[in-house]
Amino acid sequence: MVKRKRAARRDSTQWFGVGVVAAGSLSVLCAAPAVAQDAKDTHYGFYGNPGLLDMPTAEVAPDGQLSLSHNRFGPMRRSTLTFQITPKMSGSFSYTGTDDLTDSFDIYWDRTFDLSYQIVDEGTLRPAIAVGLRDFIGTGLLSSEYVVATKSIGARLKVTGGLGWGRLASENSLGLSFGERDETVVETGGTLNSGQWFRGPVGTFGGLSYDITDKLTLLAEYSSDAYVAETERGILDHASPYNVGLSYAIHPNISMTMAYMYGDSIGFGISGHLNPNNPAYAGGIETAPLPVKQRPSRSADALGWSGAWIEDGRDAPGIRKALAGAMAKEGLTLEAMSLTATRAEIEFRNTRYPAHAQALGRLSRIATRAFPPSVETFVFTEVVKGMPVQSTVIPRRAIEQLEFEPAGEMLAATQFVDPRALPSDPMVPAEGAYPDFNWSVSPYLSATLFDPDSPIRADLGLRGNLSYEFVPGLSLTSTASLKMTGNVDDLETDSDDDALPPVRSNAAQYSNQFQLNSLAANWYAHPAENMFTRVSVGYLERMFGGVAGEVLWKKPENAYAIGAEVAYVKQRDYEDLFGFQDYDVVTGHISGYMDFGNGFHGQLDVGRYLAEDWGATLTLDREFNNGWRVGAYATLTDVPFEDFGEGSFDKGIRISMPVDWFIGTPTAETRDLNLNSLSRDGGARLDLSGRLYERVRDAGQAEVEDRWGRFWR
Amino acid sequence: MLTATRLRKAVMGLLVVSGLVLSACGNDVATDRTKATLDEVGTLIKSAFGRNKTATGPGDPNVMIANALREFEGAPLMFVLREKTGAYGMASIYGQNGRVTTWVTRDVVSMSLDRPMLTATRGFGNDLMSVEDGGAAGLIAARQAGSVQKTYRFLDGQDRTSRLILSCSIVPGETQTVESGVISTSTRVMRETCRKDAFKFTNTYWIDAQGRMVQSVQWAGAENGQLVLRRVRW
Repeated sequence: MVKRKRAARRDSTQWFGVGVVAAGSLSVLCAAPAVAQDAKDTHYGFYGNPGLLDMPTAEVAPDGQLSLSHNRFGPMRRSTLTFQITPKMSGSFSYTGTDDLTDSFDIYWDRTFDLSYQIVDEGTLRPAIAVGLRDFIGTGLLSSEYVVATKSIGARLKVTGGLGWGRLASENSLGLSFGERDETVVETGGTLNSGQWFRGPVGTFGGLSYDITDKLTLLAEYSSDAYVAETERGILDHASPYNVGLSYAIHPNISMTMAYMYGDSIGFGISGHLNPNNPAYAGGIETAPLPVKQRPSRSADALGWSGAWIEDGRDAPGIRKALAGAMAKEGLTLEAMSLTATRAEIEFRNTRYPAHAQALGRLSRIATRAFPPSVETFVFTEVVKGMPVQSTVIPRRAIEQLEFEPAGEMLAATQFVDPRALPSDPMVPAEGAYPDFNWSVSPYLSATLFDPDSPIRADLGLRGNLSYEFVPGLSLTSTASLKMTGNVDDLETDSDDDALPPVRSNAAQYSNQFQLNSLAANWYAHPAENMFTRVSVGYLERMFGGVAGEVLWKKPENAYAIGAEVAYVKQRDYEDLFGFQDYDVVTGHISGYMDFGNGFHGQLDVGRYLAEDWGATLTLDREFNNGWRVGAYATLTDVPFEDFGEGSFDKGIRISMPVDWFIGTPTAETRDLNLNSLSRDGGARLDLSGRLYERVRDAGQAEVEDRWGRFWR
Repeated sequence: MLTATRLRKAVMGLLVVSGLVLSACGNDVATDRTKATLDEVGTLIKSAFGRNKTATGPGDPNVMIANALREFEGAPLMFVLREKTGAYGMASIYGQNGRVTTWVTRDVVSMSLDRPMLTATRGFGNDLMSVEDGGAAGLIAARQAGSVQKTYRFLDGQDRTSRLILSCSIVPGETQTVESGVISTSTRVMRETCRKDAFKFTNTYWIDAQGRMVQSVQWAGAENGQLVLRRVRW
């Protein structure tokens, strides 16, 4: 299966490669950056996704593009994150605030999700056609659905027309109706309101965009949204269904929009775009690797080729020392080495290269310089958290012959093996590899979002990390933070209903000046082929302490893996760093992981959560080879929606950004952005750090192969 | 112990030469600038060793070349200029694998040449990963005409290898005397024009009687443009 995947990839890169290079060469000739297309081609409306102003269009953004927008007009302000999930499908998350919409809040805040899917793309005569859902799992207040068509006429003009339901049928209704629309507002929100999709009266809308210059675009639309609730409430005057605006690209990836909306108010919007497909520097700007060194001829080094040098046993310590020194310069740590006359095995730690293939390449280059000529086989075993995760077997002759050949040829000569399945010569630890002590102090910003009283609360301070690994696999880790300033603890916790034990809703209580986030002893092991284990004891996370055990079964060639985790934990004290409260729980999950191979990765966790509720979490990520991940998760448990509170169930969006993508030089660091619901007690999972799957997978065969192009980089 | 010392020698004793890389003139990238740039570079280098010793300043390539020649007595040296940015530096030999020589600058950017022909760069960003030359390097070194298919490989933003397949024709041109650093030799100008649909570039090589490249202007990729490579000492 792996083979087939590789073949398919090769075909697609051939085609893709030509496209990329041709576009690049154009920019050489006319000095027009190709990225300008990203933003120019697709205009983003006030809903933060492809649209005119308030009305949607059938356009799509380039695959993978992330967009962040802020738009406001009249009493409304909306911040939106949009992701082009597949070439045809995009998803948006918006946080919308409306002044005085209800009596209970000054500003009524609502979280909404939108989806749109392009059914057909534009042809010579045929328009692009898309369907979309707005606010399809929200409170239903902004809900609407549409079918829309967009056609370019010439290079500058695009015309759009569509049919709308829900909000989008409140003006200019066609007079026909598709069944009854359930108009009740779901109080707690958060569930699929599929009962009303494409139901009820149908409205028509339309508009056009015209590129006056390459940067300036004129927008005009006829809106089928009458803003009924807002008008009744007297916060918006709907004088006309016509909206006009101008959009200006102040940067290839940033555009601003000004508009005159509904004959009453001025609208303003800004949106910025970023595409994970396009790093700052393709292939990175780190320094050149060491060149491969050919072995001397047999006549020039008869002793070395004979293998007789191994007899006196005096070479190995010197090689180990020199090897460790050369590896250190490449950010690699030598843990242990074995050496016979024909084979050398190197156990190493890679803390620098997020593309593990590059670490293997750099190690290969060093190895050609380190070992006597009779050594023909190199085995490079990557060690993660003390566990030898994967062995890569490379013939020395291949390294020597393929240094300037396409990377694929090297891959064909390479074998990946589970270290436990490989007969091993006696390994000699490198001096100074253990104990391994690491520490760091860095500033942190932790934010709590979506509290109706104050949409953003944040704590700012310093966080320290400590890790002391005594022997491979056995470590003591700790994280502590010192808060400088912040207002997270002002958060009022509504634990007035006793339906669930307060396991997360009391988070603000832990927001002390000094926090011991974790202090735990960990034992990681790779006891048998395809089997990885881990046990941790101590203060496991900010709110719970106890003991947790984890097992992972993962075969290198399989796209799936299975894991299990069980923990007995007790709730930690709010004030006392080392104290506990009375509440304790046995929690745990069975987890299934699946790499779908087309850039999507799924995870299903089934088990018992912290509030003793049973259920499952489904996570789906779009993964880019370069390390970007954009995903969403949802947890459903046996907690009734009304007991859960606002949102009905736990769900969120997570984005992981590799730092090397931005700076161009290798670092394993990532920046993670998690957009969660308010901290609720239902579906809360133990926040254990260093879970096995990610650790094992990153160094595994599939991930190494995905970025194999970096082997010779 | 012999192997350990060998390794240390190799790892530590990497001869890296003076490389003052600065962004100077020009973001003008039109390909027809090649000739003008070469003439410019030619005059600069000549003047470094001839009449015009007054031209000074830390950013002066003449001074840089002169210093490098003095500092690295007897070592083979190459002057490298990235036409697109105007950045330049000196390179020395980093490694040799079969017919491919790898040159490196002080800031550890490397260029690998299969005889006269650029076959890889490392450290520029958007690097040229490999070239399957279809026999081009041999033809150019032998100063012979011919037609070949070449495949250039690059990494895309997802670390996947993309390839660009081009049809190239190699045509021997006029004879020219090249004076560069301490080298003065008679060469034949070899032009290699590569096309893929409407896209095209021309590499120019000055090859001496022994088939060695004295100077050349070679395409290193869409982002990095043309590199000017000029030996100043064999």
